[in-house]
Amino acid sequence: MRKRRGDHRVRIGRRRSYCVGVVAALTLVAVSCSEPRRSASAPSLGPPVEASTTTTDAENARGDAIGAYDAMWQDMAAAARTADYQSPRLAQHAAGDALSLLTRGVYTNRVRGVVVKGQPVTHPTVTSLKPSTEPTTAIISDCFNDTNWLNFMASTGQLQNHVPGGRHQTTATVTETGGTWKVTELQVGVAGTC
Amino acid sequence: MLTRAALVTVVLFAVLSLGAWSAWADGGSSAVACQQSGAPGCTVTAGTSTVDPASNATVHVQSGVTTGGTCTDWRGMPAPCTDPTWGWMGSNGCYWKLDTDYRPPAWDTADQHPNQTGAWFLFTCLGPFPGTGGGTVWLPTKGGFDTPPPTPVVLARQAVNRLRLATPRIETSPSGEQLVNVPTWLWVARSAWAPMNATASVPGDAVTATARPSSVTWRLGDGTALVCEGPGTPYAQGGDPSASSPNCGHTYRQSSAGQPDEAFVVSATMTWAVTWQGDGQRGALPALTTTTTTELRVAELQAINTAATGT
Repeated sequence: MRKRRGDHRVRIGRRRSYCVGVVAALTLVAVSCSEPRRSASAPSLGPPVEASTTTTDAENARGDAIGAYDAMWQDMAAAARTADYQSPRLAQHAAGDALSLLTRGVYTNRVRGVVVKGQPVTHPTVTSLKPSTEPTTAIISDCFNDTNWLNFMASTGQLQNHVPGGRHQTTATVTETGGTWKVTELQVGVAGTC
Repeated sequence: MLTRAALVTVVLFAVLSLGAWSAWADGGSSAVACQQSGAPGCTVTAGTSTVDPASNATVHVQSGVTTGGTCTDWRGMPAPCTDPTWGWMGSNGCYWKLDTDYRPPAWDTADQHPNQTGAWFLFTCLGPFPGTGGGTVWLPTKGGFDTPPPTPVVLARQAVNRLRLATPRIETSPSGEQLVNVPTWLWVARSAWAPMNATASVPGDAVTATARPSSVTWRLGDGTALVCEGPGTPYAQGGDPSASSPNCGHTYRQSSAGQPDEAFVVSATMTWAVTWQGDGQRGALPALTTTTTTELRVAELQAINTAATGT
């Protein structure tokens, strides 16, 4: 399969993977990783240009929000691999309705004897940040790809059915509370919506 | 006009696509996407019909469920009104059943529903691919919601899932090493030989499942399988050592020498007959089993004789 630019392989233990993808897409969309990460990959041009505080806040918020979003899918993939809906890891980067949604989803799989194997791929972008100074809420838009993250029957190890995975238009609200960013709302469209 | 080469390419592509299609399955996000209220809808397959989870809030039972008629699924196709695994047909064309087992983890603070009247349900939108679509949802059981009646069988299966059956404790006489040609008495501890109950309930309705021990199947490691209709008779102290058990015994004709660990692997499997009753009805469900495995050494008796006469 051709790998699209900006693909994020959601992988356990790779919390900064979004940074790679965002930098790759840097020339296309005006987003970047948070400040320290950008300095690692951007060409050095001598003393840094003075950036306004607002810009730095926004860049940090974008990086943190996308990081939380990707980490949430990593947590979900880890829990869904064994249908462990009681895994506290689910709550590390999700809260509120989004957390309930993930927990119920893993539980439903458990009831049905389904485990999920493989890796989801994300392509998140931040579409809105509020408030403009010191943002605490980010809206993320993603074309979430589960073509290689599929349902299997735990008992037999066989694929659950012949319905293909696909690309799902996904919207997430990521909120900062006490210095920690977590996904608080999540809407995943059906396959074929992006 | 298509050239021959182009035509071949088109046909090949179609075949390859079909092949790939058969190697796919529902994506991992289906469990999330399909349970969402307010989501753009959830197609259960790539068809044109959609199930709108947002309508869950007003789901009610289709009339055929109570009248014994035919129901209509989410695709508009005729479908049985009750599915033995997935429950009864709701107004959204998906099957519903109560889930009395789900307890959201404590850290899932938004889903605790303290002091709320309601219940957890699993809904499933059957189609060409059973067991997909839908999800686990909390529904209030009053205010705009017409409580679907769980069938007693659905409740009974939930009750059975809650049964915690005892495993047999294996007892033998002689109590340790067995001897070739000396009767071995077999029994399971009486403490495990008792009916067990579990109940699943909804407001105004409860079904109790009862599991009763009915037999023990012994596999004795020398190729013998033995079904005893009861727990077996414990050997009484001071009894005749050459007597056989009246209802559950075996006499080994070969020693366990040469077996792994110099012992036979012996298992006792208790079979439990399962019945349920409630809501003015009763019935039976498939039997359950519990098994314990141990090792039993069997020695040649003449080895002792030889030792005794050799002095």
